[in-house]
Amino acid sequence: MLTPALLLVLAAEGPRVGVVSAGDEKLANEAAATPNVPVSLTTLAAPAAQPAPDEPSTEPVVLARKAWVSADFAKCQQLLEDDGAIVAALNANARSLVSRTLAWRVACKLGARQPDGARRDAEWLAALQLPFPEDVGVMTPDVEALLAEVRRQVDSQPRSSLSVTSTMPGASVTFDGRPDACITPCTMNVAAGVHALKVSADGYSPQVKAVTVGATGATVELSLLPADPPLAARQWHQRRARGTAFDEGTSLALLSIALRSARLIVVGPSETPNVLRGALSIDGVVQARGEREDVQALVQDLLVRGKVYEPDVPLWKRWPFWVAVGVAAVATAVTTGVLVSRLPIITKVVIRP
Amino acid sequence: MTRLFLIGLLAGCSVQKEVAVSFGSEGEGLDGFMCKDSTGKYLLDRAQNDGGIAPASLVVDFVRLGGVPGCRTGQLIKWCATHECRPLSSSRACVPTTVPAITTGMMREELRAALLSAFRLTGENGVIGDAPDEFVIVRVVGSLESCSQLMPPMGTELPAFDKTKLLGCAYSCPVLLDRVQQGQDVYLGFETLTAQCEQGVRSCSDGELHWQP
Repeated sequence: MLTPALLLVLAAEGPRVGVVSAGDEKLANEAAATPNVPVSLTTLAAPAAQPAPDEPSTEPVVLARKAWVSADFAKCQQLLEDDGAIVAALNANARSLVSRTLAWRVACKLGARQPDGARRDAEWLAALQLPFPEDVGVMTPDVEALLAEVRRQVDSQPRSSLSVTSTMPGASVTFDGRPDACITPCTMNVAAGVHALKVSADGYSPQVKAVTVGATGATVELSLLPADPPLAARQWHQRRARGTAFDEGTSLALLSIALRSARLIVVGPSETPNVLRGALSIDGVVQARGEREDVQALVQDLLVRGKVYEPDVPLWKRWPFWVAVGVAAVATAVTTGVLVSRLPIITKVVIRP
Repeated sequence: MTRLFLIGLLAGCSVQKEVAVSFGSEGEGLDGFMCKDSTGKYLLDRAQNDGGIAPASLVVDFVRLGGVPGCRTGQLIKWCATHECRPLSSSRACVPTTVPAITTGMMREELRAALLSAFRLTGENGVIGDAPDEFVIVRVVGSLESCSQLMPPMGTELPAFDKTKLLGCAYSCPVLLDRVQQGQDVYLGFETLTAQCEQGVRSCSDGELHWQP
């Protein structure tokens, strides 16, 4: 079973290599002391877990309810009039809060004798396909009646087409607070009205948008920008929390951004006992993976196979050496032949009558 | 550095060999020492005097040809008529010898055997010298002149043979002695169709190998 905890991260910047340890200082130090590599190994701290964004506050709804009870419908409306807060709550998956907010907006407007405004809010609630909140039980019957009527009306209308594309295909679409509604590029059949879209992908900053879908449908294109280090760190922690392998490609890419390191080596335990597993990532792309019992051998192996540096090859293993030897041998043979053929000959001539 | 060392090492080396010049195992190359003059007397008779046999000399020369002519006498004479043929002064060798006594009615083959025997004793004196690294003919001239007369002082030209004291002559084909395989003798000989070949001996012993009328 793969231990989920990251044990070691090596980060390389130019000739420098940073070592990050999240759990095993000894292993990190041993890796940082890998000999015979033309890069310096430095231990770094693992990216800290980033706090999750604040949950949307329920306070406006609570206060609006009190204002409605006090028949202060103007204040009630004022507390809930921010459409942006509703879209933000949708993108934060706070669908229950959105349902409560819209229901109280209907109640407040009916109380203020603004039936058209109340109907628009009821239509929005119906378009979002959110269930009625329990708060409806404390509202006047006309509120519940309006909500039910509008819901029936919206449900009876034909759905419209909503096409979503993103600059980075494969992004996950959160639609009206429902995560993973589709993967871009994709098309959904939705009720006409105002909807909240959120497109997100690991390594990128999520993009949100309120979309008004008419009877003829709508097309939305969202641009994804690279995530900043804090966001990448948060996404990396989220992936780790989901059990993603420490040397998985996207996790390494996120780690690279979070640590602001172009080159990374992560090392941790493998599924085989007493064997370490590691991967080298350069510019967010995995260049080499390996398994070794010895962490220093593993680091060397990854650096070599990832072409961070080339190992010193013995002279006799290099082909130019043998070419030179061959040339020298031929030259020597030729020279020797020439010299031998030109050796001075001393011939003694004798008489043998 | 290694290459320089190798060159230096090899430069210090040399190939040493020995080449023998021979009149043939049966003395077949001695015809030039059995020539007669126009009166029908052997040239060897010149060594006979009242007191016995006069001392003689065998002079060995390496004759530079300036090329590689043919081996026949006519070819050599023709070649040397237009080329500079000259014995190398620095490599002349001279060994004293004694020619055999000529007796009346002595058969030619008997004379050949006697000459061979005499020259074998002379040949025991050994080395002629170091062969030049060029094509030459090896010439052996027999003369009644002494070696002191025939060997030039250092730095002077070779003295010409006294044609009246010539006893015989033999020569080899043009040969590059350094390239003669070890164990192969260089044969000396003399081309003549008649026993009266004094003229040939004079031409053979000439300093420039020119035809001697």
